[in-house]
Amino acid sequence: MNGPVDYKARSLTVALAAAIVLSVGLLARSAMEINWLGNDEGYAPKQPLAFSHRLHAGEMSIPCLYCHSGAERSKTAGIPPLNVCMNCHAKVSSSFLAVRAEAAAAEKEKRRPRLVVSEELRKLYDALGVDPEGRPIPGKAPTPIRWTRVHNLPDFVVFDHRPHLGAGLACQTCHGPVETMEIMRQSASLSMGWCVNCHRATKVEAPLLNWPRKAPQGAQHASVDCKACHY
Amino acid sequence: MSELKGREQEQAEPSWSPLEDARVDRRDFLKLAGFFVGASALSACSRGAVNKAIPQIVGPEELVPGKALWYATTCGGCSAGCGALVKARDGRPVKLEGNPEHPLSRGGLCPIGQAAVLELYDSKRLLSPLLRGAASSWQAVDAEVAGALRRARSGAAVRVLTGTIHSPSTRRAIARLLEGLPDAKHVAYDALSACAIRDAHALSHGRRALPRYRFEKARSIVSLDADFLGTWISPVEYAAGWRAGRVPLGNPARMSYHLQLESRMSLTGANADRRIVIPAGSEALIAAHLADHLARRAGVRSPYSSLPKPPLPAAELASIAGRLWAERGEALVVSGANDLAAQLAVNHANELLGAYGKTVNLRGASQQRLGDDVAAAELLEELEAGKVALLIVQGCNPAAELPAPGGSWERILSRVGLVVAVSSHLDETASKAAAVCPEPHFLEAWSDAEPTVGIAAVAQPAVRPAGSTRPFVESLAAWAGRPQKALDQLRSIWRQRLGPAGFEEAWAKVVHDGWHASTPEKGAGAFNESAASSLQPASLPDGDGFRLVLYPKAAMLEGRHAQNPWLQELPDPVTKVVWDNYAALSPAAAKSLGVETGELVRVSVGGQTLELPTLVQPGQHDRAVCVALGYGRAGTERFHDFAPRWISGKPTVAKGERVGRNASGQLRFESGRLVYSGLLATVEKAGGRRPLACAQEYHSLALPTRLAEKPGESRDIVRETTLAEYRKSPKAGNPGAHSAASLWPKSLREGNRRWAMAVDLNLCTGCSACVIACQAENNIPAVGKDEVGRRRDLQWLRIDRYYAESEEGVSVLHQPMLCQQCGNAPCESVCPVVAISGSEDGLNQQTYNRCVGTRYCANNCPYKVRRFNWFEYRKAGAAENLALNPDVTIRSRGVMEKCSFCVQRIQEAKIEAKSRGETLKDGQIRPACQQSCPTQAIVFGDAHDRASEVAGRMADPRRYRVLEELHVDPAVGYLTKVRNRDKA
Repeated sequence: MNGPVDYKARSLTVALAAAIVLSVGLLARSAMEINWLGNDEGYAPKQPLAFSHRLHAGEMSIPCLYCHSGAERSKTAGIPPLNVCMNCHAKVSSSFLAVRAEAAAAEKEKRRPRLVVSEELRKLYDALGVDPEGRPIPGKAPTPIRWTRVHNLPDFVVFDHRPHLGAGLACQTCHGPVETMEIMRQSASLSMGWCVNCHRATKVEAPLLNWPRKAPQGAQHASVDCKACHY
Repeated sequence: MSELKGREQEQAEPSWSPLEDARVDRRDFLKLAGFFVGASALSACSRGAVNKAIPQIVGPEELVPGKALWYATTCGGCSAGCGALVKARDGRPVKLEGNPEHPLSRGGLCPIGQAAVLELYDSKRLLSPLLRGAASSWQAVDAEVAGALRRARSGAAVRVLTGTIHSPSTRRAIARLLEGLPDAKHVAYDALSACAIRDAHALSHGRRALPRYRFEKARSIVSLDADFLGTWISPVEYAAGWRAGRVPLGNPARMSYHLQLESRMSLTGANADRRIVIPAGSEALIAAHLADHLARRAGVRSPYSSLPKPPLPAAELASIAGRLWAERGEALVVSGANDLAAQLAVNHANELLGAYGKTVNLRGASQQRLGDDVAAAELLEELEAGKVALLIVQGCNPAAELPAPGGSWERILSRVGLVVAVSSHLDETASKAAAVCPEPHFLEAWSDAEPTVGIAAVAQPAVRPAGSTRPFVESLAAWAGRPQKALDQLRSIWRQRLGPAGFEEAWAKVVHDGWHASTPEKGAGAFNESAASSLQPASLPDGDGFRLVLYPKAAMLEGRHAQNPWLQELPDPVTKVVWDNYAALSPAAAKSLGVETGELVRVSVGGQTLELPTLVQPGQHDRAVCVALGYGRAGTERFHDFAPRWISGKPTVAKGERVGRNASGQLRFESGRLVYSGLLATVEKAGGRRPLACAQEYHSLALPTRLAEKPGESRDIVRETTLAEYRKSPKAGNPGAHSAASLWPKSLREGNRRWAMAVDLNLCTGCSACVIACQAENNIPAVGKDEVGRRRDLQWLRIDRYYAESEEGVSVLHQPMLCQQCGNAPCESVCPVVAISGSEDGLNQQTYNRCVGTRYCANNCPYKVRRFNWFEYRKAGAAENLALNPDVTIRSRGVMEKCSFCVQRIQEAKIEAKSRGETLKDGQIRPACQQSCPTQAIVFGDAHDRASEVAGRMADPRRYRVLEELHVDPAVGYLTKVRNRDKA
C-alpha cells in the first residue's frame, strides 16, 4: 500500500456495496409480486378485515346478490354497507365451535356462558360503533372499513353489471370460484382481449339485444362496438 | 489540458480497490450499482395505485352506489325560479336539468342554471362566518347583530337590502325580524330592474304588479328593446312560450309575427322576423306613437295631445299598428325600458289591443322582479346621510351594482353602524361589511319560491352542506330571537298553503314534484286611462352624441355568477366573445372613431370613464355604444392562474386584474329609477389594445376564397327563407344537395338503428343553454381566454352565428354545430390507429384510450367539431373536480374528443330497458342538449324508426343536411329557418 488511505472513496465503496445488497433483496422481494403492465391476474391483497368468501358464499351458501345487490340495479355490484353484515352478525358474533367451547367451559365452571366475539367481527362492531348485539355505544363514532379493491378497471372503461347478469352470466364467469377463496383474488386477467373474446363467443337471445325491427333470428353475440365499453 | 490528463492517469490506478481480485473496476462497479438501484426502484413501482373501496356504514334504502338519483328542486341561479331536476350520483349533485313538468319553465333551463352545479364545488366559496375580516363563529355574529337590534328598538334605523325575494318563507322571516322595530324597512332592488313596469301598472291598473306575459298566446309580438329570449326577467319561460307560434303550420302556413325594435343587437332581435334599429332611449316615444296609432284604429280619443316627432317614419308606425290591430286579442307589446313613460304607453297599447287577461296577465302576476328602484335610491340617500344603524344585505351586491352617491361605497358603508352581508363570496359589498354570513348553495338547503302568484315551488337539498354555512331564513330567525330550522319554517308556511288536513301527503307531493299550483286570487284592476296617459314622453335630445346602452349578457346577467368559469367561457350568443366585456360600436361608428375590434376606447358619462376594447357589431344603431354589465367583479382575479401554464401561455387576466370592467358606475337614477339605455356619452379612441377572444372567427365552414369556383361563392350552411316563399313551396330556401358523384359506395351505416338528431332553426334562438348542458354532462373543461384565442376551446357543441345583410338590415342566424355522426365519416378513414370507428347503431365512436393525438381527424372533419386536449386541464385535488360526471371518461392530455350523442345516456337507457325486458321507446333517450333546450329545438331519436319524432322532422321538406354534397351522410338534420316576412 502506498500513499494515504482515501477514506472518502472507501466509504463510498462500502455504501455502494451496501446498496447492491439492499437492491438485490428488494428485487427478490418485489419479484414475487411483479405484475406486468395492465394485468393484475391473481391479485389478492390483504384486507383490513379477514372476510372469507369461502365461508360465506361457499360453506354458508349465501347468494352473491344478497350482499352485492347493486349488480342487478346499477353499474357497480357494490360492497355491502355494514348494516347488511349486521342482518346476521347482530346474532352471530363468532364461530359455532367457539360458542360451543365457551358453553362447555361455562358448564364446567358452573357459570352463565359469556358472549364470545371473534377478533375479526370485533372490527365490524368497532366500525359500526355498536356492541355485538347491535346496540350503539354512546360516544363512539362509526368509521367505515377501508377495503382494498381487488377488481380494478382503467378509468376509460365503463363496465356495467346489469346487462351481464341479464344475459344470464354467472358471477363466477368473471370473478372465478369465489366460493372457494379464503382471500378474495382476481381470477381473470380482465384485459380487453379477454372481454372481447367473450363478447364474440357468447351468444345471447336476440330480444336481449333490444333490436326494434327485423330482429335477427336466434342467438347473437354481444356488442363489440368500442362504445359498448369506452365513452 | 495536460493537468487534466495527469489527473486521469492518477485515478486510473486504484491500488486500494477491494474488488480488485474480482476484476471489477470502478466503472463496472458503478454501472452495477446503478443497475441494481435503478432496477429495484423500478420494480417497486410495478403495481398500479392501490384503490380503496369504502362502503357506507349504514346504506340509505334508496341509494345504490353507481346509480343516479334525481330530485326536483328550484333553480336559484336568478330570480326567475325555473323548475329544475338535479342528478345526484352517490350523494353528490353533478347535473342540473329543466323539470319538464314545471308550469313556467316547461323543461328548459338556461346556461346559468346549468352551470350552477359548478358553483356548489367552488373552492373559493365562503364556508364559515367572518367578523371584521377574521374567521368567526355564528354565536359571535349573532351577538353582534343582537346588539345592533337592541339599539334599533330605541329608534335607530334598520334596513334589509335584498334582491328580489319571492320565497314566501324568506319574506315572512324578514317581516318577523322587522316587526316591532320602530324604524325598520325591507328594501328590494334588482340590478336589472323592471321597476317601471310595476310602477306603470300601479298608475294604469291600480296594481303594482309585474304581469305574467303569455307569449304562447301571442300571434303578434312587438318588443321594444326587451331581450325576452335572452336576459329579460324570465327568459326560459318566455322562450318556451314564444316557441308555440314559431313553426309554420296549416294551409296556408301560419306563424306568429315577432318585431323587435332595438338599438343594440340582442339575442331576441337576432331571432325576430323583423328588426328595426332605433336610437337608444327612444322607446317611450315610439311606444307612445304606437298607442296613438292604435287609439286611432280603435276609434277612441288619442291618449296624447301632441307628440314629438318619432325616430322612424309614420308610415312604418302605422303599418306596425295595423299588424297588431289585425290580431288584437292575440297581440302583445313589451318593452325592456326601465322608463315609466315607455311602460305607461306600452300598457295603453296593450289595453287597446285587448291583451290584458290574454297575453298580459295581472292575475297570477309575476314576482320575478320585485325590486323598487325608488326605495333603493332613498336608501342610498339614507346611507349617505349616515342614518342607518344596521344594514343587512342579502342576495345582491349593491357595491358592485349600483352607483354610489358621491362615488364611493367604501365611504357610505363606513357611515352605517353595522353592515351584515349575507353572501357566499367576499364580493364588493361583503368585503366592506363588518359581518359576513355565508349562505349554503341552493342545492344544499331547503327553500321555497313563488315566481308567479299561485305557482309556488320547493327546493330540496341534494347534498349535505359544506362547512358551517347557514340559510338566510335561519339567520333571520336567530336574529329575531326565535331560532328555527329552514325546513321547519318552510313546513309551517306550507301548512297554511296546503291546509292542515292531509298535509303530510300534500307536502310529500310538492317536494317530489318541485312545484304546486293554486288559483291566484284577485282579478286585474280596471284600466285608468287618464293616469296611463299622464306622462308625456320627452322628445329625443338633439345632437348626435353617442348614447350609452348598458345591457346584461345571457351568461353573466348582473354579474352574480362572474366567478363561474363555464359562464365566463360561454361565447356571447351574438358577439361570440368570451371572458370579457367591451364597447360594441356599429361598423360606421367604429370607422368614424378610427378604431377596430380590440382597440381601446374611452366611454365617459358625466365624468365616469371606462376604458374598454372596441367590438365592431353589425346591426347596431350608429350612435349607440353598448357595454355589458356584470363584469369587473371582485373575485375574478382568481382566473389569473386559470389557464394551463406553458411557455407561450398568457394568463386569462393579468395579476390582480378582473375579468372585464364594471360598467355599473355609469348607471344613473333618473326620477328614482335606474336608467340603462340612452344616457349621453362621449366615446373617444384611447390608444392601445386589449385583444378579445372570439369563438367565431375559427372553426369556419366557409369556403376559402382561393378555393371558390366562382368569386364570392359561399356554401349554404345555414338556410333561411320567408314565410311568403314557404307558402309557395315548402322547400323554399332549401334547394337540396348537389348530386355530384360520391367517392363513397353507400353509407356504411346500414344497421338496425341509426341515432339521429334534427335541429329546427326556427326554434333555435342561440341561447346557448345546450352548450353549458353539454359541458356539464360531458366533463368538458373551460380553458381560459388565451387558449380560446388560440382556437383551442373544448366545447363539443358550439353555436355558429351567421350575419346576413339584406335590405331589411342585418339579420342573424344561429346554428348549433356538433359532431354530425357521419355515415361515411371522413375522420375515421384518416385515423392511423383506428381510434374512431362506426358503431352498429350509427354512432361515430371516439375511443380515447386508443387515440394517440395525431389530430388528422380534426383536419379532415368538414364540420370542425373535433376538439383536442392540449393540456391536462383538471387540477389535482381541486374541489371543482367534484362536479365531474362519473358516467363519462375524463380525457387526458393528447387525446381528441367530440360530441358522442351522449352515448352514456344511450347506453344507460338501453340497459335499463333491457333489464325491464322492454324495447326502447322514442323519446326515452334525451341527450343533454335536447333536455335543456327551452324551445325544444333539438330532437333526438332513431331515424330508422318511421314513427319517431326525429324521423318526422327528417321527412319535413324544410330539412337539409349541412355540406350534404360531400356525401359524408351526416346524422344531423337542420330545418330551414322561415322568417315571417314578405321579402328576404
